Amino acid sequence: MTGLSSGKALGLLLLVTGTALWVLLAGPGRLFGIASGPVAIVVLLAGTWALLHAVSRIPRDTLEAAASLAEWKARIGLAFCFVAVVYFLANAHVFDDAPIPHNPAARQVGQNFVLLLVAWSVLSSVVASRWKGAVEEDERDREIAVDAAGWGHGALIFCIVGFAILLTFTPLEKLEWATPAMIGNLLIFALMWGWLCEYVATLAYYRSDRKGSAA
Amino acid sequence: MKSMGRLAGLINGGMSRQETLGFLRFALTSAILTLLVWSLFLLDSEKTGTVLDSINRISSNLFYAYIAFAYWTLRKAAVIADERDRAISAESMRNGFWALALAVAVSGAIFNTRPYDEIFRAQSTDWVQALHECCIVFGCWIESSVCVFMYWRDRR
Repeated sequence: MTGLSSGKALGLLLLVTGTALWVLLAGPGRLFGIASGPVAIVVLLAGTWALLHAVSRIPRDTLEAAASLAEWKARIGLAFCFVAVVYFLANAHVFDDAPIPHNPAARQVGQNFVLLLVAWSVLSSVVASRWKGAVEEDERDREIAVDAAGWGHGALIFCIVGFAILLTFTPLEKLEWATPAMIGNLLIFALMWGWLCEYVATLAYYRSDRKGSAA
Repeated sequence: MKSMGRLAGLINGGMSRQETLGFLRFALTSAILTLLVWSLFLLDSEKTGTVLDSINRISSNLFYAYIAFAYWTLRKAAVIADERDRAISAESMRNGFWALALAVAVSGAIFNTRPYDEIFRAQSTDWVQALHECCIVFGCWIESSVCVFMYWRDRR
């Protein structure tokens, strides 16, 4: 494949998955009488599969030269966590009714989350499989993982303390939204937020490390 | 007497700063977690209205004081003494994070399960706030427990 054609293919892939993402997050609920959410998820998964195919064709030397395994995992994790957080916020209104098993709209959102999670783990494992037989992490990777985990841990605690303070200091009449289902899903959101911050911190540490090495 | 002497020896010079802070965190989180669990699940709110309010207030204040203390110790511990302290700190942090994540995920799932959502709906916002605090303290308690256990094992 030439550089130009692979660039075009990547552009097309980004366009299709970007449109699917927009439909999933902010698009109309139904398109031509068909529920748009599942269609968007299917297109996103197809895009992920195409990405998997592309990743499986890239020579390992090229992958290793671009980033370490931990950095690739952080990049993939950041992309999926970001989509999950934005998707959750865009659909937060469906969680204030009833628990997920008894709420069809929330159940649909939950199924889409599970699909995202599956796609994430498959893509991560495919990337990891390219490192088979090679050194997967070194001292630098371990140090960065510890520091980034501290950020993720802090972000999760900050988020939960924020919810606790919000519940304490908000007048009762303004807390109608705080149903058990909504509080439960906010806790799940806090988890996603913690992981998102951890991945951002990981990439920031790798970036500064690379800058330090180049200087 | 022998054990007292050993304890005094440990406090005087046997313990590193990390270890002392780990023991302090363990003692504080054990006390706060006991208070929180007691007020959340073991006290009958109908029979102990004002007592429960007082316990809730005390445990909540202790929780925020602990957060401030933990932040201070984190800053104090920025200069890690040696490689062993660093490894123990990383391992205990990792365990604490997963305990917190597990507590949050389980709480989130229970809030979304019938008939528990109706039980939670009947509770006050103070109770839900205390449950949030309990999740965090549980994570901190696991972190400090692992830290203390690893220092103890290392010493043996």
